[in-house]
Amino acid sequence: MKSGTLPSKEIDEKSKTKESLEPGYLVICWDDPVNLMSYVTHVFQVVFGWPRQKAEYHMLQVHNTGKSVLTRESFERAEHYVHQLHKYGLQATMERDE
Amino acid sequence: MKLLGKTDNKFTFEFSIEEKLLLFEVLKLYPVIDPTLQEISKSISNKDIAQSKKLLQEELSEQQKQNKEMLKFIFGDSSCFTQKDYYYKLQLSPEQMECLLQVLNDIRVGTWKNLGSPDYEGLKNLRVKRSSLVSLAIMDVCEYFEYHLLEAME
Repeated sequence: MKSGTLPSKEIDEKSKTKESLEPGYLVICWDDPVNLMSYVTHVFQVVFGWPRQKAEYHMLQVHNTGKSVLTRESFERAEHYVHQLHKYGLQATMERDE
Repeated sequence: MKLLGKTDNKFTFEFSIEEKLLLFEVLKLYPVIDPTLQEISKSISNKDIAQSKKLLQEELSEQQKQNKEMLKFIFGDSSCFTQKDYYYKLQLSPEQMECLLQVLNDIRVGTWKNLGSPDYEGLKNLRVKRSSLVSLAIMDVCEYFEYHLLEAME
C-alpha cells in the first residue's frame, strides 16, 4: 500500500513544484490616495532594482489607471515581491495570469 | 527640516525645535499597520494563500520589531540629534534613512487604514470629527517628513 501511493504523491509534488515555478502569477500594485508618488517610485527602485525611469513609468500607471502589473513571476517570486511591497505599505496583490 | 549636506554614507539635516517635537511625537505611534489585516490577492482563494498570508504577518511583525530597535538607536540614548543654538542637527546613514521612511509611511498608511481606507472621494467627503482631524494631521506630519527624506535621497 505504501509503495503504491508513492508514485501519485511524487506526481502531485512534481506538478505542484512545476506550477509554483512557472511564471503564471502577476504582481499588481493598486492605487491609493495615501502613498506619495515619489515614495512609490522609490519603493519600486528599491524592491525591483529598476532605474528611475521605469519605476516612474509604473508609478504613473498606478496613479492614472488605478493599477499596474509590475511583473509576471512564479508563485514564490510573486509572493516575495508582494511581501516586500507590503513591508513598504503599498497595496499590492498577486493574481493568477489567466 | 532642511538638508544641510550629504555624502555617500551620511545625510545631515537641520530641524527646528517644533519639527523635532513633532517627529518625536509622531514616531511614538509606530507601528500602526496591523500585520494581520493585509490582503495579498483579490482572486486567489484564501485556502491557497493562507500560508503566504501567515508568512507575511510574521515578516511584517519582525520588520516592525527591527524598525523599533533602529528608532531606539537613532533617537534613544545614542541620539543622532545634536543641539545647535535654536535648531537641531540630525545625522542619518542611508540605512537609517530607509528605516525612518518606512516607519513614517507605516504611520501614515496605518492611520489612513484606521480611517476606513477612504478613496479620493471618501477623503473629500470625510466628516471631520475631532478624532479624524487628529488622524489627518498625523498623516500630514508624516508626509512632510517623508517628502524631505525622499528629496534628500534623490
